[in-house]
Amino acid sequence: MNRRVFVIGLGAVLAAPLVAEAQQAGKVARVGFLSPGERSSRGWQADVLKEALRGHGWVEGENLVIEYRFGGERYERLRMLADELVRLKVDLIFASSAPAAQAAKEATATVPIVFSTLNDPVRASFVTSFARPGRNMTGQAGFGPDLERKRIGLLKEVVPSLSRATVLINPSNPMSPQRLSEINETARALNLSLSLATASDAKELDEALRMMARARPGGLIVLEDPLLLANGKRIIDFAAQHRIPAVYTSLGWAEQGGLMEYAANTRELIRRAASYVDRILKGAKPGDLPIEQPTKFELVINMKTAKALGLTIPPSLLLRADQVIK
Amino acid sequence: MIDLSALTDLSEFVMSHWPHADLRAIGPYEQS
Repeated sequence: MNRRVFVIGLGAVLAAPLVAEAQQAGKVARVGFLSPGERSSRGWQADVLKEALRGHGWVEGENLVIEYRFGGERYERLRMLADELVRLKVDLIFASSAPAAQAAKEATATVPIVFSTLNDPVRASFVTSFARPGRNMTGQAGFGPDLERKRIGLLKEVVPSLSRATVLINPSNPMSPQRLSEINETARALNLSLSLATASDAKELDEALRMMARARPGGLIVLEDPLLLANGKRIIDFAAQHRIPAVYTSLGWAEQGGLMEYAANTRELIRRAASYVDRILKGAKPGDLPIEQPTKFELVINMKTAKALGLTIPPSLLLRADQVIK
Repeated sequence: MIDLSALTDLSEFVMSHWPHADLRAIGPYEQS
């Protein structure tokens, strides 16, 4: 028997009792999946969760019901959907992104909430500490110290003369004040003048892009936001058209033509969060499960975009990249 | 667009735009 077959076989043997345990008990778990955006753009996150839960023995249609709720373009709608999930008496709410976690937190202090976010959940007041979240919330937080410094550093590596940049945020995102503060402090420390552009919907984005076209910043930093990502192609095309080097703070931009991105892998965060869902469905208390943070952040560089912008990417930077799109 | 480098006090700006923001969450990042 080769080793891979053995490992898979062993996994199946270990997983089988869990499935059996749930099925024997006749328990059907009900999980609410709460996300901003649309199913067409964000449904893949629900799919990742569903597949990861299957690996823990929770199979949709057998011993698992997932109530999917997508809030569309307006974050305010998430609160109504979170209330609805609470009324449905779900066993747990999975909050995909900080705005969803915020809405779930406001909707319930008792139903367990597992979140996947790229923000600091302590600063967001979701939990009281990383080690002991202490409330009905826990999850995965894909951020770490010096991330903003590294992102600005990336821009400076490809544009050594960079002195002015614009940061684009969605002001409706509850994490915006916190993130803006962090990136502004970092920019000041690195002698980079920052200007702020805001957009909370497609119409505001039009206006923000018009203003940026007039200001012609030397660089662009797009703070991660599900709704900005949904309009990602327009932002990427704008940066290409106006020859503005941009760094993105979540994954998924470079493959669409964005210059570079440096962030935690959301798929991995969701997979890990699924293990918390599993443990809570089996009786663990969310407040006892420490917030987990990734040890690795991924750097993706799109060389086609770099060439189109006339940029030379230093070899040392290419060596550090986890993926180079050619 | 707003020139952030011209602001002497970002927290004042933040509070005027996000009146419900938690001031404890504003400032340089430190591992909690």
